[in-house]
Amino acid sequence: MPIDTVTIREPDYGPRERLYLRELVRGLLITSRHFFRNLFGERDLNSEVGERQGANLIATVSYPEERRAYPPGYRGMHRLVPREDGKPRCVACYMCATVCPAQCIYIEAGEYDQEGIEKYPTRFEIDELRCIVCGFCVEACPKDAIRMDTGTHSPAVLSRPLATFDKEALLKGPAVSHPTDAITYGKSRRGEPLKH
Amino acid sequence: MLEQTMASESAPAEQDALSVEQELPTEPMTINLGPSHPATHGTVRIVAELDGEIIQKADVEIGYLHRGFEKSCENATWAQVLPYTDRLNYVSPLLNNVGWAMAVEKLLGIQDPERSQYIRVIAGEVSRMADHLTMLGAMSLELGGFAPFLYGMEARELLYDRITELCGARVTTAYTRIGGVANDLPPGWTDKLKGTLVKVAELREEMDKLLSKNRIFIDRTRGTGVITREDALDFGFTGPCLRATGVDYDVRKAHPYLVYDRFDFTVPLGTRGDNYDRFLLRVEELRQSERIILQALDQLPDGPVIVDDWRIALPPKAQVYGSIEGVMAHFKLIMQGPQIPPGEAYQYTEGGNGELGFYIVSNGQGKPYRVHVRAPGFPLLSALGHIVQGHMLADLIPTFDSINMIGGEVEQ
Amino acid sequence: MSSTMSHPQNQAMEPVGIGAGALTGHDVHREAPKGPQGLPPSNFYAPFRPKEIAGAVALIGYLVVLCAVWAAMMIFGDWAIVGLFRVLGASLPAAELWGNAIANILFVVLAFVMLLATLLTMGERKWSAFIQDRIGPNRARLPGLKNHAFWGIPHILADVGKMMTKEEVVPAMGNQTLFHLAPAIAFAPAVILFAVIPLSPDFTLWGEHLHIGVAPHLNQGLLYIFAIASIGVLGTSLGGWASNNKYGLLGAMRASAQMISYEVTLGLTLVGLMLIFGTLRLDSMMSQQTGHLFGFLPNWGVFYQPLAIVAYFAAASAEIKRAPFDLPEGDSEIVGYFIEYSGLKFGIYMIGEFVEVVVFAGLFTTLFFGGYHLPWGEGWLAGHLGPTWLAGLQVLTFLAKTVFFCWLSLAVRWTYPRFRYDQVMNLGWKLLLPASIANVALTGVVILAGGMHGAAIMGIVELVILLAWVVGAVGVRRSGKETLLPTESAAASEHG
Repeated sequence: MPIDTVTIREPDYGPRERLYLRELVRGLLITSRHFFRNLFGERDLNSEVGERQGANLIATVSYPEERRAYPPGYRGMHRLVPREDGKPRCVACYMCATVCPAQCIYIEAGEYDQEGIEKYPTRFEIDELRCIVCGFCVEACPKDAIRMDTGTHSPAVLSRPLATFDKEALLKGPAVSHPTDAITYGKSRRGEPLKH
Repeated sequence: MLEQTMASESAPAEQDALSVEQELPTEPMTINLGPSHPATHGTVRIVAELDGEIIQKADVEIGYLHRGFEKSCENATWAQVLPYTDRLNYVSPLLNNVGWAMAVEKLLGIQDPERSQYIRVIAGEVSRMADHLTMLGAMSLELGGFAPFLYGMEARELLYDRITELCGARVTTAYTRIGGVANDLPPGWTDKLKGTLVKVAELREEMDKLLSKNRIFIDRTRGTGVITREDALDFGFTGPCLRATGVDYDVRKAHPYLVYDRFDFTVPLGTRGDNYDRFLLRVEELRQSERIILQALDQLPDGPVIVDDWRIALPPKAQVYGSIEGVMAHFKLIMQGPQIPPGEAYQYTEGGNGELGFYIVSNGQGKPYRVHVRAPGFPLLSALGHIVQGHMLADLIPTFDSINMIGGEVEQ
Repeated sequence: MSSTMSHPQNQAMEPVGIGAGALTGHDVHREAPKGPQGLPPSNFYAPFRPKEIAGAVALIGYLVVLCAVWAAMMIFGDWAIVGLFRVLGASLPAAELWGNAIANILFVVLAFVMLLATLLTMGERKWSAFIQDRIGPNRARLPGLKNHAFWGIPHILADVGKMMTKEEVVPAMGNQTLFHLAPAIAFAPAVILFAVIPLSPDFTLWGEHLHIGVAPHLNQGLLYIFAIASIGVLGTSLGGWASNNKYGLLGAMRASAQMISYEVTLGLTLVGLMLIFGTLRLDSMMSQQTGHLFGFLPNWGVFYQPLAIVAYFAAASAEIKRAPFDLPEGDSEIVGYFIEYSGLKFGIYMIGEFVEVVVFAGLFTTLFFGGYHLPWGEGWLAGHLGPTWLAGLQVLTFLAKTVFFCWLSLAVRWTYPRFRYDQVMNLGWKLLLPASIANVALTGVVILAGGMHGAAIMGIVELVILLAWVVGAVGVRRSGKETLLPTESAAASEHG
């Protein structure tokens, strides 16, 4: 099959280009246009850089004071999603620890005495230094118990152990409940509603 | 070589002077560029033997970024390999994601849904644009033109913003899945992308205006870093560097994959195979990528974005949360990985720098038996010493930039 | 493979993504990022706000105070010195006003050149940021003024502090003496070059006949410039060589070849000017650049020697190693002749480069753009303000012109790519040198045939041709579809 190709046409390169000056002035016009627009224009502080208006062309933010919001769906720090009663939704099924390509999740399981779900994590630790932020753990979770929707990235720490987050540190954010939770959560082992 | 030609052309009296000069004891100066040198924007070491400023011999050493990608893959399930591929060509990770997913799909004998194919094309072309913008900017930067570099970076960041909204991360995208893509386009994303493309086009034209007719730039790039068509083919060049020599090989056209045969775009070709051609060609490819994206956005069909087969793709969350079949399929897929039938396959796609090939062997278990990546940058880098031999030290820099070696994929 | 395991409920595929909770109607809540959010309390980089105006007033006030100190030193210093010599009974050459001379050295070198060069270090970073769509340095703050970035000027203090406290690494195998001496050799000529540039005409203040400028009345003004400027190469090449570093050596080789080559062009471009003005004295060149050509054009060198300007600008950029001629530095190829220097020695090289920028901008102003002369209205101002106040205004004019050419030099530096070693040589020897020789010949012939008037007409014709070139560039840029494939870029813009 013949391919639709075209030989790139080179820009004109005649005596005018050969004598430097014309193209140099042209280049200088472009950069000085940027310079004067940025010098005299009021900077638009819209954190969405692509939507900034006005004469000013500056495309950066003055970081600690201005911050760009991460878009929805941004894979940030993990959190363990709590139930309405504040306990983790996690049932310690080890799916996230299994699927993690970096093996950064460590779980130890324990058992509830009276709830319908038997297992819960007694230890749930994520080493954020090992984490490669692929989001597979979130996908792998069958209980919607781990999410990466905190909107922050993992913080800078001064020593390696501090980058390992335990269950208490991870269990935060708004509680989540699903209609299907009724199957497992909130019932005793015999299937009776729990009395809180 | 230069001295010999000079000697043969000069008059006898001068020849005496030259012969005296040649008897002076001189020795080539060995100079070591890298692995941490301002121009080596991967980690690579070039040991150059200089005669004055002429490179007599350049020895390219790699291995500073070797991470054992191929071996790592053998210890991960087919799905888990995906984030590793982000780290190959880290300038256009989405193209690697697409390549890997398509390789596994080829072995499986399945095709992802049509919408997923379109999304892969769009995401891949956005990523290719980011790749080319980075290369153009870096080339300008190392030739001393700082403003075009940051215009290119500005445009690239705008595209990365769109990629972030789509994939959840700038560079470590991990977006495709075996049999589709991870998630559908976010609401309003297509309009945003169109707006972004306009801005990127403005910045691209500014870069082009600043450089492509400027005699300083032309002098630095035209006629330097030349590789002939035959040499390029012998070295195994693909991608823009091969097309700059005039060979019309673009995987998207030569062996259309995904839905590339439905788009109207042209493959730009160079004539001389020098740095200038490689520069202009990438500028033109930016325009073509923009065309492809706009056409794909127009044609984008509705439908699922991942195959409806629970042995390959994870079941929908409703099934996982609410049905025993869903949980079973989910657990099975996570614990064992997708079961790929025994066999081997080679799937090649057009990456940012050329033909990106994944050669995979399955022994029927959940993990790859063997993975090999045909990184497009490796042949390019291996030819660097050949290209710059006999040129000046200053020519090494634009040549190194224009072949666009990416440490991650070359050294894997 | 058919979807044998597919569940009947599984009709519409849901996107399996990060926010999986969306499925159940639960809104995917995303916590707001931690830390200070949104916009800063006040927009502190917006131009033309009261604080900026106050800052500018403070800067001008600083200059005024400097002027006052200078005037006071001039008067009282003179009394003191003359008195001291009288007390000592020594004889004193009375040709020069001694207080004036000392004050001039301090004022011109410290307050003008060094201040401007120091500000340029930040100006380069800030201006380049504006060219490149960035904000630029703004983190350093003055104590007590934490809410104002002062255009990044406090960074200068931070830089100085950093350089003074950094470890100074001396290569053990290098030539120790030359290694330590080279920065000074590079720096000194740059500073003393400014001596012959007049910043004001002679004027009278409190009965004293004064001028600003260290030695503007020097008979051999231009020759002095050539002589001193050619010393600068020593500092560069010795510094690179004494470092015992291959990169440094390459930089030094490039520097010596380039700087020596371009000195020839630099000299020849100014020969035309010597022919026009008939003198080597810069102050007398100045005094000839008053009045108007044809009644409205300022009688500046630019209108006599436009070709020389272009060649001079290129040659001067090459001489001071500024981009696009910064091969000796070549930061992405060879790191530069100063690769082994650290701490304040590197700082001296760096500030020396900016001093050179200031000096050459000053020379450019003096030779081609009327120096301290205002373009129009000098006679009217002299009548209304008196010559003394006019002289003050003229100093500011000189400052403004110099700053403009510093800006031009910096804008050029951030716009263009770098030459290659052999291309610089080609440009210098094969293009600029013949052009400047031709310019000298042409100027000589025209002056013989038509005198000053003829030279002015020749210059204006040349200038019109050059300007037509520039306007042509603008026109091309506007009509500008010089894209490689016109149809496709048009198609793309239609889509956009």
